[in-house]
Amino acid sequence: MFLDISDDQDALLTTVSAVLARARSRLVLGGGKASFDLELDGDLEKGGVLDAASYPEFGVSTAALVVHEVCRSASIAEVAASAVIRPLICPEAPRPLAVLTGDPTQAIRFLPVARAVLVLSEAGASWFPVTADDVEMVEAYFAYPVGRLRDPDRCLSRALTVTDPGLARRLAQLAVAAEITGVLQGGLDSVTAHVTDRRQFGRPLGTFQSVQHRLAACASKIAAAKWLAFKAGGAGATHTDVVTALASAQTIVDAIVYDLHQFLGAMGLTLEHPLYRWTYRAKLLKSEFGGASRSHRELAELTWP
Amino acid sequence: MNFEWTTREQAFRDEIRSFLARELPPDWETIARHGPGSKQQTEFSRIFCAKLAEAGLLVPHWPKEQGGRGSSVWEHFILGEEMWAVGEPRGPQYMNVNWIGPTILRFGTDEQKARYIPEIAAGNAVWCQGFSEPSAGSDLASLRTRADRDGDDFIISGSKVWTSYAGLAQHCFLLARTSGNRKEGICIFLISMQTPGINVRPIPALVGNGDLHEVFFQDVRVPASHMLGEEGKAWSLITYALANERIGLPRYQLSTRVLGEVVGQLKANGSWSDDVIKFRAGQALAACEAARMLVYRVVDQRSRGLPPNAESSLARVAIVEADHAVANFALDFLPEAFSSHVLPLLKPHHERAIAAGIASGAAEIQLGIVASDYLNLPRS
Ligand SMILES: Cc1cc2nc3c(=O)[nH]c(=O)nc-3n(C[C@H](O)[C@H](O)[C@H](O)COP(=O)(O)OP(=O)(O)OC[C@H]3O[C@@H](n4cnc5c(N)ncnc54)[C@H](O)[C@@H]3O)c2cc1C
Repeated sequence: MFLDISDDQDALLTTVSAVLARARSRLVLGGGKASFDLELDGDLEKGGVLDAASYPEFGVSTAALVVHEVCRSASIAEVAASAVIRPLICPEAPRPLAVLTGDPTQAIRFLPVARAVLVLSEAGASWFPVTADDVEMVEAYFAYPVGRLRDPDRCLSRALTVTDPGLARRLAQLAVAAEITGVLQGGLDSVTAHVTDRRQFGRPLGTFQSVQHRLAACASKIAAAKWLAFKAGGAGATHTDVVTALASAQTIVDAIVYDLHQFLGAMGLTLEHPLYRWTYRAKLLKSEFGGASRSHRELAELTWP
Repeated sequence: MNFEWTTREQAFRDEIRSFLARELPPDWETIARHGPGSKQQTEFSRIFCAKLAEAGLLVPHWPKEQGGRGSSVWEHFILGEEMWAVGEPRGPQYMNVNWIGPTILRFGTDEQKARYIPEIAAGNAVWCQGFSEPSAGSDLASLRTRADRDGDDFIISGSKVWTSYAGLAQHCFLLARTSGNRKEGICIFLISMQTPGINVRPIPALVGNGDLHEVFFQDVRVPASHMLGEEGKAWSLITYALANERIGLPRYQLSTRVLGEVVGQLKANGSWSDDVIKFRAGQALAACEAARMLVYRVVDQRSRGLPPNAESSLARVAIVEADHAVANFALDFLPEAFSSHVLPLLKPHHERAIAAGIASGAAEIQLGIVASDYLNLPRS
């Protein structure tokens, strides 16, 4: 075992940090709820960090690590599907990549910026390219750009089959798990900084024990879910590992999102503070693949068939 | 990152499993039912640990000269996992091998080592830990038990409480104060529980028979040579000892085992088709895996020689949650099993779970450490 960032991974993260720092310097808040940083998305692609999963020295754990780190940022790019799923399942598909897991008429995150859609269904897995003409924008309630396919049947008719649908689904579950741990960590980073600076009753908010303990509990939950996600990408990881990671990540969202908003006070309810960029991603991610309840049942069924 | 066991580690785990398959008697689980501090389990530990010692599996992580085989940190940890997976048949002796022995080896005089180490390495010693006092629990540094110099001896007076195993222990790893206050002036004494002036009162408790005690010290005369380390400088030794203690307890392993057994019963009685039950089982299992992952992080850091840090507190919080998730799952869906013997490890697991957030540093203390040392939140 070696449960730490390797030197190679560290070098990769340095590239990621530099790209994220540039994104931070141009971050503008106060607009609509959904956002997408096209430049960040392009920089990540150009830097090659999205292909780590297919390199022997890296693999899927490293892809999960990249997802976690990018999602900590308040700037939003399409990283989870592109880093975790695409290199192993559909490297020929253009990106950004949207993922459709249920009813083809449903709203799909990242669809307005996507150039391909990966479809995961009971019947199998496939992908099809999309252009702006295929997509109808949906008013964003979450922090992601969301759209709907105008004519799902026509899109599906040009879909190309994927050879290992089981692997595609597992990777998609893992991608969501890593995305959740990243956005929650990003929110926690932000709230930790806030309670360190903000003073009430003559002292920083972070000196109140009720604040400390709840944030510490958040930290423990996020750290565990994060390492479970990395483990689920490791060599020899099983479907059970993946579902464990997903279930763990989804189940912690509600309590953490509550605490993060709580400690930011009214400021966290504005679009001028980035908190919603993390919490309003988590709120959507927690329902992917049927949500925590479904994921836990899947885990139980895999473990005790 | 690498999440794989090496062939050597896997072989070591297999060695322990085949030892357990061979040497753990069929009535072990019935013995375990009485709880970790019980007379039954303490007596059993003397037989079982002697066998472990013979097989080179009691203190494999100790140096070769002291009866060990120089096993790695991970191997030491694998040993703990396998013991917890069967309900910790080492009973009280887990303390000896995990932290009392190593602390004596590191800081003891030759005479102290010669006196205590062979006995521990042979699997024949029962120790108790005399730390907590009526007014010093979480705030251990406020302990008041006195040790006053009298020629070549010290005279010890005061009382300890919650002392596990005290009723059957031969020795006590005792904290007492020669001077000062708070962390200054505390000393460790290695004393025989047979010394005149020591009185033990068992405390009836929810955590199994014979676990908790009150220990009174009335003018107990102890030779100065029984002091471990320098006078008044015990705090750093305690920190060392407790850092060793912290990785010693893979509780989630017992929780995972009990969870599997409860699911087995639910399948047999036809309840397993209930989606809510499956959901809660999955949730409890994921909590165990979360705890395991954070503990592995700590063990990995230790194996690479990194100093202990707040991540062990991060892990402790997760361990407490996992224990409770499994205990509550069993209570919710298989309450009748608590009134029968179908799952012998169920009650000992429950008893350990209710203590998990209190013993060896309350969960809130761990959260405080995470807040200050992991999140770097401001101190009040
Ligand atoms: C089963 C069991 C076995 C034990 N065995 C031994 C043993 O062998 N030897 C030994 O020396 N001791 C032993 N102990 C004692 C154990 O170390 C203490 O129980 C523990 O340190 C807590 O002390 P306390 O019980 O006095 O609780 P207190 O210190 O009185 O605390 C009570 C509660 O208050 C809260 N609290 C306390 N301080 C803070 C704080 N700073 N911030 C926030 N909340 C706080 C926590 O919720 C805590 O649980 C054992 C305990 C148990 C339960």
